[in-house]
Amino acid sequence: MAKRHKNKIAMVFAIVVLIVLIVLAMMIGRYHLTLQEVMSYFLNGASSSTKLILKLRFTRILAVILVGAGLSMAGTTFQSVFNNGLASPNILGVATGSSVGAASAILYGMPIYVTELAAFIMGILTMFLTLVIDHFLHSNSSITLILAGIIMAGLMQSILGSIKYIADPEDQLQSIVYWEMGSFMKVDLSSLFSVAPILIIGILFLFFARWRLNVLALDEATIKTIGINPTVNRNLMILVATLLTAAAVCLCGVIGWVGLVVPHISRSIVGGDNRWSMPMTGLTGAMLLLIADTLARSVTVNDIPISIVTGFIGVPIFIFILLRRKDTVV
Amino acid sequence: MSEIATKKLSFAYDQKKIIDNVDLSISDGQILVILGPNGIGKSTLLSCLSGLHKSYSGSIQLGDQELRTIPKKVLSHHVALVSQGVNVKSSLKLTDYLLLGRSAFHSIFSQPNQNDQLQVDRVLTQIGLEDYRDISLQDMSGGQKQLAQIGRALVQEPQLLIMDEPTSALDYKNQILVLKLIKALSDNNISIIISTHDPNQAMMVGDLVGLLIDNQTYIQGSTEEILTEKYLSDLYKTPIVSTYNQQLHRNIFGTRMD
Repeated sequence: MAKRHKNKIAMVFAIVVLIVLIVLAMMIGRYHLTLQEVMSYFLNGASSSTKLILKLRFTRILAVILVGAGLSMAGTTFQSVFNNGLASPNILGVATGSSVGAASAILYGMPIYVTELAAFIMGILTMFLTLVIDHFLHSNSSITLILAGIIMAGLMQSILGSIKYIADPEDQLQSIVYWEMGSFMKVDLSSLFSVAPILIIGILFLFFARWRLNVLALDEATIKTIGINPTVNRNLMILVATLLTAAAVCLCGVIGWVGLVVPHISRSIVGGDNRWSMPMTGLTGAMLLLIADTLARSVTVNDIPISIVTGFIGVPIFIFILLRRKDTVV
Repeated sequence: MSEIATKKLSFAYDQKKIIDNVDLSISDGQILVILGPNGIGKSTLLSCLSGLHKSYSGSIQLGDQELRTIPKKVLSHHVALVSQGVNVKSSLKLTDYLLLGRSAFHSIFSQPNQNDQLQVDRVLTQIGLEDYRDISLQDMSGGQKQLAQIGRALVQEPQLLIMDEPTSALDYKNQILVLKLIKALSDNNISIIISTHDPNQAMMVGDLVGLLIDNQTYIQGSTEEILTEKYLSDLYKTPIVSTYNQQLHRNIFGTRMD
């Protein structure tokens, strides 16, 4: 009971910190704004120029929060379903696969919803092929899944390279390169509106289905005799996590480290029970990506690709996690 | 539905017959101990009885229903399985691990409620691990993990509990702990089927004993009928002698080493 109480406090604290970070992110930027100006925006009293800046910033912040929460929750899902702390949207090849789908759609000048669909289909296809390779490697070791993911990510990277090679350097190439390292620079209201519903539905799905994820980490025979169909449940979870990854890729490209590292951070705070760690992962992911994006858009005159920032934050955290590796996934 | 009976039960895997023509039965609150050499098909038999294989031939009657016609969710409220040698690698706290046994009572989107927690509390007392409720499973001993697995099965509120070699990975003290629990559960009218390699354990807890001699032959009877020197020597193809122990009030089995 004491632990439960501690977790509740941690959750409330995380929500408060996220709100503070949102307000700070609204203030920080090339044009620094005061707390009063930010507050008056929400109370509808800001001057029109400030209003414009804040509207742009707020749109971007919303996108960052949804993507941060979505990618991290997808990471927690993959790690639970595969019972493997190294599984993440990037390592399994899903993110690169999705970016191949998105880049192909861009190459043919498709509208955003076709881009989304292509990203999702390629994400699922890559996930499927990763699982097929893992199956043929005939091993119970958790490392083969990761190797299979590396193989598929490598293949997808080569396809992406080919697409870049034939892309129009004036226009398309720039958009595709933008996808590779991730950035929220081009996010506007219309792109946010077209992707946000998928992100929100995916996040809500994983939030409400979080207890079921606990049981999916058990062995196959036990899950069946508990009365749960492991195949249907696992595939459903994988599908939703892939959908979240694809949606994130459509909005802002491939973002490294978040889906891998945040689930570990969250588990170290609230423990391995997904009833607590899933919402904590969402909150922590939103916070981490918000910090990364605020840095990406404010430390230099130009926007830095966000994967550079998440890499600098993620790598030391991951080393730390590997050094004190004691926790199994669930 | 705590009575289970098979008629001419056979199961083949990759066209190879693993078990053939098994007639087995158990009624309310009885303990059936299945003995047999390694690789003879004990685990397959128990998997069939747990509803894990639907492609068996012959029949398995649970109460008055054919096992394969019972939906998985419904079956999980009647029959629970503790698999063999599962090394539970879980950082869940014991109480959260036990809660997993309640999953079939809920839809994918619902969370465990007060009633589920009450069941978990009841089982924690039953398995004697009340003081370990907030301990993570990975910090527990082998014996405690095994008790936790049995607990997870009990939380399903089964009338039939099937355990595949529940004592095989345990030291002597923990073996006795698990066997005493099995006895206590059968006193609470739960029917239990276990497999083991040790005829002494069969003597200690069994009401019925089944011998899986080869994949063609299964014989079952009361403990007194089946646990004889002749049957056991034939089963393990090694001479086994028994002697009555006054203090234990039962036969003990062994083999001369000269």
